Amino acid sequence: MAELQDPERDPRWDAVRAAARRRVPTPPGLVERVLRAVARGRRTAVEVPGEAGSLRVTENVVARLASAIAVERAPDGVRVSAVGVEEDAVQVLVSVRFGLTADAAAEALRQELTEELSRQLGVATTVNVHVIDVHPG
Amino acid sequence: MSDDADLLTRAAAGDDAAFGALVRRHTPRMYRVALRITGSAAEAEDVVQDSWLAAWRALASFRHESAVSTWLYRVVTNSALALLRRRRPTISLDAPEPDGQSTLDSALLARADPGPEGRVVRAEEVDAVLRAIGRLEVSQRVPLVLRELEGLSYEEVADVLDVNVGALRSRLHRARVALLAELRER
Repeated sequence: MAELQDPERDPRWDAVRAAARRRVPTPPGLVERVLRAVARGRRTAVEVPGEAGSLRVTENVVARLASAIAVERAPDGVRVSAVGVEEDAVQVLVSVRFGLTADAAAEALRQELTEELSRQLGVATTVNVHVIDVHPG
Repeated sequence: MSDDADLLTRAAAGDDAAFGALVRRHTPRMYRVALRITGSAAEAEDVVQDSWLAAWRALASFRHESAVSTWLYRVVTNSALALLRRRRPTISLDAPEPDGQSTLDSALLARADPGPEGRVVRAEEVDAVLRAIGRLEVSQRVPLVLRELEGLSYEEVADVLDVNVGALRSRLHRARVALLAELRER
């Protein structure tokens, strides 16, 4: 029962001390990814002027919003691989099912996303959809 | 080398290089804490990114009442807890390392200073400890990670978790007993 009263004196506690010494490598490129994420979080992608001030939405937020809408509204056979904000436009990378007319599927998603993003943000938004892969049905 | 407080003051004033230096200096330990709390390398990355975004937004409000490192421990711990709340009530740490690989260099560990009893701890025992910590309730796991794995003082852990030291000591005692019970069962 003594070990229950003072767990650190239990012989098993050596393994806990050893666990504290175990090295945990930082994933390669994590610092750079963090710095890019923070930069995205800082950059204003959309600014909507108003009478009492302006509404600013960062790139990070626009990308998250666009990603949620794209996944929800993607036509059957279109998979959203990545969404980002680059060159003042929302860039959406998709994979289309084999046999689907790629340009028609991409255009349908582009129109849907442009309309909904513009509605939610209150400003016209440019969306580019890039077909980067084909997946089997 | 600038100290943390100086870097943070400069970062809050808009010095991107100072902020970058803070990120480079503290990301490894923040990742380590996030990994130990969440048990998932991918989620730990997300936690670290969210933490730095939160830290960046809060730079101007930092009052220098605690060490920068303690403040960052608080930020990453809160981000990890927020992720756990979003995820599910029970967490598995069965694969605590990226790609399921152990980061322990067994040979190095064998040469490391043995514990008070002079035992050499095997890598499997360390793995068992980390898995057992992952099975603890979050309320026990988090202080245990900060105190036993990160080596923070009681006062620092209490500051990070915003609890008083007395309450922390009793919570940690229960956590240690629970950890030993987990280790005994396996």
